[in-house]
Amino acid sequence: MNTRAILKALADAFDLENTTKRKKALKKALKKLKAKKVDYLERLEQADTDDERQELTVKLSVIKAQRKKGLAALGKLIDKDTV
Amino acid sequence: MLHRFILPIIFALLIYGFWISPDFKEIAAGVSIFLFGMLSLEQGFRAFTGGALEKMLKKTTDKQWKSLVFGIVSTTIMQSSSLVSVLTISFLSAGLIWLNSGIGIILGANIGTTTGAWLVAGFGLKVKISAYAMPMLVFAIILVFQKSKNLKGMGYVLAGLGFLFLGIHHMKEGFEAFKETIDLAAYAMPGIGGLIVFTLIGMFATVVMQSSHATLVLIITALAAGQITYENALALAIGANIGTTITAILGAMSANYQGKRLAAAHLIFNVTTGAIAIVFINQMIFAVDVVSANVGIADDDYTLKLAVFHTIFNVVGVAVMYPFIERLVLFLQKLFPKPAKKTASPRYINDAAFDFPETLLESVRSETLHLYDNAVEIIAHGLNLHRRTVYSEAKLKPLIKNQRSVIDFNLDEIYATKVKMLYGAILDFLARAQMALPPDFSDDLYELRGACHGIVRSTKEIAQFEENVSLYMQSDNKYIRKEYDAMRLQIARLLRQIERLRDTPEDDRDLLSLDDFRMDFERKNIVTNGTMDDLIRNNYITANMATSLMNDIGFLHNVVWNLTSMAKAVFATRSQEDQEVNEILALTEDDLDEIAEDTAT
Repeated sequence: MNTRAILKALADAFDLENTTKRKKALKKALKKLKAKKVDYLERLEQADTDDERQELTVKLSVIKAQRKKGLAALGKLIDKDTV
Repeated sequence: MLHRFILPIIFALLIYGFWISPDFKEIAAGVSIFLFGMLSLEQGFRAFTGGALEKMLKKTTDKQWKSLVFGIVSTTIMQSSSLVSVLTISFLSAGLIWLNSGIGIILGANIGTTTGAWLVAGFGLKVKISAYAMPMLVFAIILVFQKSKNLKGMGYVLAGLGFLFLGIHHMKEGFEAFKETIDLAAYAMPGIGGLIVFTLIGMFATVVMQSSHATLVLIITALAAGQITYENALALAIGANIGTTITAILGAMSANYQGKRLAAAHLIFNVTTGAIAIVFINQMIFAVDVVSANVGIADDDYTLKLAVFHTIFNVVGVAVMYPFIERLVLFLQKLFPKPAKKTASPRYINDAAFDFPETLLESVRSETLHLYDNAVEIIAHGLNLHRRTVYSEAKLKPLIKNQRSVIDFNLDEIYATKVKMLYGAILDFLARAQMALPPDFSDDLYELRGACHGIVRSTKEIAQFEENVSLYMQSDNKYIRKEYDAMRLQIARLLRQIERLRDTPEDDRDLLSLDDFRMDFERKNIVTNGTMDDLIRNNYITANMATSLMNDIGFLHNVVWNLTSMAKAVFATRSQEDQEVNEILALTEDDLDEIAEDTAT
């Protein structure tokens, strides 16, 4: 086992990079985004005006992009764990 | 309560006065034109601040004796001490000269004005300044419309002088009726009683006629006709000298505290000089006889002797007052203190927090919000909206549509007193705090510094936007009106959202929702979404309008970015992990461009 591997094993053991906490926070944020997405989708179905529909569509696209970034970050953290 | 009724009462009294007396109407119009002239003069002189006039004035008034000479020479040339005192008040109010210099000029003007008595007594010459008013105004207006700052300034100065002359002319015309009723012979009396009564008459006549020259003509005529005694004439001249200060007092009404100080100095000087002349009247008469005999004035040539008296008592007055100028300045500074500006001072930051990093960070966060609150006054007014409207629960779209009247507010003053001062204090504090804080906190502090900078930048951007929004929200062109209303709406919504975030408990704050505003702005950007091209192509808006729109979209883009960043920094959660997550999820400008493209297609 080389030095780098030893250091990594130690860091993981003590969770020096706060990976677990980060994962937890990220999952929580993603969950919130998901709930927001569901809420907006429901509101989109009930929207009466074009303006309202357009506004909700944009908000949904923002959430989609944020979730995409979040999921990618979460994926990286999980990969780190499994390596 | 009382304030609400004062203006209607004044208006009612004026209307009644105009109705019953055409003379009163003329006098009131004269006073108004005169005051308007003062304002115009001040504005004109402001244009030269830092320029040639300032240099010239500074050079000619940098020493007390120079100011005195300046006053003597300028009054001799202009033949009106009132005009010189009014001009000096304008110089002072515009910050071109200091109070000491101003008082020097006023003292000089009192000596300079005695040359008028010599001219009146010797040659019967009187310069009728009102004759120059009309041509002056014509030239002035042409100059005011010029682009050059100096020419514009000259235009305002000329217009100011024109209006001053015109105002004095109308006041004189209005008082003609009173002049007819002044029969000096009716009051002729000997002794000290006569001295005091005639001093008061001289004062009253000068106040009424707005010219000590006119009073002098009246005195000389009455003296020559034997209506009054020589002593009575001297007392009238003393009274005229005091009465002439009314012009300066009128001028100071529209001037700032400096102008008021100078008008008070003028009054104090002339009243003191008058008092000295009254107390030592016999010595003065003796001195006049001696001087007259030496310069070859006949013993019975009372008109020229009156001119000698006028000169002697003014020179004596200057000689007595000159050493006390410094004390007079101190007294006037106490009497008319510089009004304290309502400046915003820090509420939360305090050096005592240096030992407690968490507290310090929290105090900076609160102070940033304080700065933001002050800036919102500018931002909301810049959108032509009131803060209470923005923060209300009412729907913004109809509110914006209905709010078309321009809100009158002094953006520069609010910026200088409420934003700039506070920002300076925060920066100063942050610079010192950075040295005291452990390195772990420096990132947060850096973020908050950026937030403050963003707030200040936003007020600057809004200042640029405000001019066009005032213009175009009232435009007949519905297309440009719509675009500006849309921009007003976007910023108003953002302000409302920031306020909501503030009221939301920390754990429930959805900072990621701020990206919606950025996205919304990108998506509705008419430059990138092709709407602008359509508007131009179809001639719905002019090229000028298009340029304004493009610039303002740029300004507001920065406002949206700055304010959302500010909110993210100030409302950030205290949990390190949550902060990191928010940073990960927040959309960059590239992300937003990409989504905008996707949603457009």
